Amino acid sequence: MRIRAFGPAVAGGIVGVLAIAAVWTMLSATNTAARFPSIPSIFDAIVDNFQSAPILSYSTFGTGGVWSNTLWTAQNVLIGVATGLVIGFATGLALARIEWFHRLGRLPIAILGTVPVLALLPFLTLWFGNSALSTNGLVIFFTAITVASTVQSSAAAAEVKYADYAATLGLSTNRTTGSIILPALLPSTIGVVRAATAFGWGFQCIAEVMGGSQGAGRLIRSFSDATQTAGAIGVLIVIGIVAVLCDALIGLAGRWIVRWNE
Amino acid sequence: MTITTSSTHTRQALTRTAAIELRNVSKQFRLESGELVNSVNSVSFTVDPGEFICVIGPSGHGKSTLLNMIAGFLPPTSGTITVSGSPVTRPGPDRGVVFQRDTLFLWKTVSQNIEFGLKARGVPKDQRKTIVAELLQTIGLEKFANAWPKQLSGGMRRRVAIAAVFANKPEVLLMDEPFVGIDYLRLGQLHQVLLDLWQEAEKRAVFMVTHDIDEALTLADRIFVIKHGTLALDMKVDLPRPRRTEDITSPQANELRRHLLQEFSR
Repeated sequence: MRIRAFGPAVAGGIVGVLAIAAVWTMLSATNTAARFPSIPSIFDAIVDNFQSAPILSYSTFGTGGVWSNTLWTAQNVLIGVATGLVIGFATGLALARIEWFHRLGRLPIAILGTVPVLALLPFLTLWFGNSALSTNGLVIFFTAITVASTVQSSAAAAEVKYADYAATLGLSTNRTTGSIILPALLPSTIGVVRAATAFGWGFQCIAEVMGGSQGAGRLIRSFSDATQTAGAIGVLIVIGIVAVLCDALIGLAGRWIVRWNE
Repeated sequence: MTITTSSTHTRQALTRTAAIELRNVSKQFRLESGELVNSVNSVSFTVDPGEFICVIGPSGHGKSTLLNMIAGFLPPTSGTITVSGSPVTRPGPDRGVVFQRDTLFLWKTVSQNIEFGLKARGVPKDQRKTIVAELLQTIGLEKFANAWPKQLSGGMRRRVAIAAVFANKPEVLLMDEPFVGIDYLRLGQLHQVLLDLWQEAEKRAVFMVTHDIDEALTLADRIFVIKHGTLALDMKVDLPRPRRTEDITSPQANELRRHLLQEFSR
C-alpha cells in the first residue's frame, strides 16, 4: 500500500514544486530582483555563499556560509528538541504517575501551556544574553510543554487500559511504569516529537533573526538588511531541505521503534 | 438436571477449602446526587476448586461488580470474600482476569505476552519457554509465536489473552464477558481453547460473566443468575462433557434453558 502510494506522492510533489517555480518565474519577470529574484539568481546566491558569505563579515563580523550556519541552526533545533523531550517526558510521566507532583504541577504547567511561545523571546535574551540557550530556549520550551501534555494524557490512557491487568500479575508500581506505561507512550511521543521538530525550525530561525549571533536566521537577516533577497531565499531553501531530511530520518527511526504499532 | 439454591451448595462446600467463597457480600455506590445504590445485596456462595461457573443476568444488576470485588479491584461495603481460604484485599496473581477490553501489550510478541507474567514472577527462562510452547500449541498459534498483536485477528488475540492468564496458573480465573463481539464460528473455537486450557490446568476454578445462555450451557458446571444484586438462582448443569451442539440442544438442555429464561422474566 505504502509502496503503491509512494509513486503518486513523489509525482505530486514534483508537480507542486514545478507549479511554485512557474508562479515565481512569472512574479520575478514582472517585479524587481529585490522583491522577486529569478530562480537562477537564487541558486547562484546559494552556490556563491555556500562555504563563506561575505555579507556576514560586513554586517556582524561573523564568519561561515550558508552550509555552516544551516548546520548550526539544525544542531540547535535537534539539541533543543532532545532537551525538551527529556524535560517534557519526565514531567508528563511524573504528572501522570506521582500524585503529589500532579497536585502541585498540574496548574502551573497548564498555565505555562497558554503562554505564547514567541512572547518568551525577550525574556530569554534578557536571561541568557547572546548564548545558544537564548535562541534554542524557544524550541526547548515548546517541545517540553507539548511532550509533557501528550505524555500525561497518554500515560493516563495506558493506566486505564493496563493498570488492572498489571495488578493481577502482581506487578509493583515501578515495574508497571517501566514495563508497561513507558512502552505504551512511545507512539504518541514519537508523533509529538516530529511535530515539535517541525515547529522547532521556525522558532529557532525566528529567534536567530531577532537576536542570534549565528545560524540560518542570522544569515537571512544579514541578506535581508542588505536587500540581497536572492541570498535570503537561498538560505530558506537550504534550511527547508535540511528540515525535510531531518523529518524523514526521525520518521524512519520512529517507525522502526514502534514497528509493532504498524 | 439439578437445581440447587446457593445455601444448599454453601453447606455442601463447608467441609473443604473453597476456591472462591463469598459471605453476605454487599456493595453500595454513591451517585453524584448523593443517593446510595445497592449494586450487590448480601450475596453468599462458594465455588469449588476446578468448578466452571457462568454468571448471567440483566445488565446493571451487579454481575461485573461481583467479579471486580473477587478480583480485588473494588472493596465490598460489607461481607467477606476469600480465595483459596485467603481474604481478598487487593488484586493479585492468584486471581487471573481476562478482561472484555483488549489488554495485550502491543509492543510484545505473542510469546512475550504469554511469558510476561511468568517473567514478572521470576520463573526461570527454560521453564518459561516450555510453558509458552505448550500454551501456544493448546491455543493453536505456534506459527504466530513471534507475531505482534496487531497482526492477529480479534479471535486470535482473545486466545492469546486467555493463554497469558492461564500461564500464571492462578487459583481462579475471572472472565468478564471475554467473547463479546466474536462471531459464532470463532466462538466455538474459543470455547474449545478455553475448555482445553481449563481441563489441563487442574483445580483452577473459572468464574465467567456472560450474557449468552448458550455459552453458559456449553461451558458451565453451575450457572448463577444475578438479579437486582442478589443471587437469584444457582443451577447445576449436569450435561455431559465435551458438550457438542446436540448436547446443548437436547431436551435436558432445553429444560435448563427454559428454567433460566423463566428466572429472567420473573
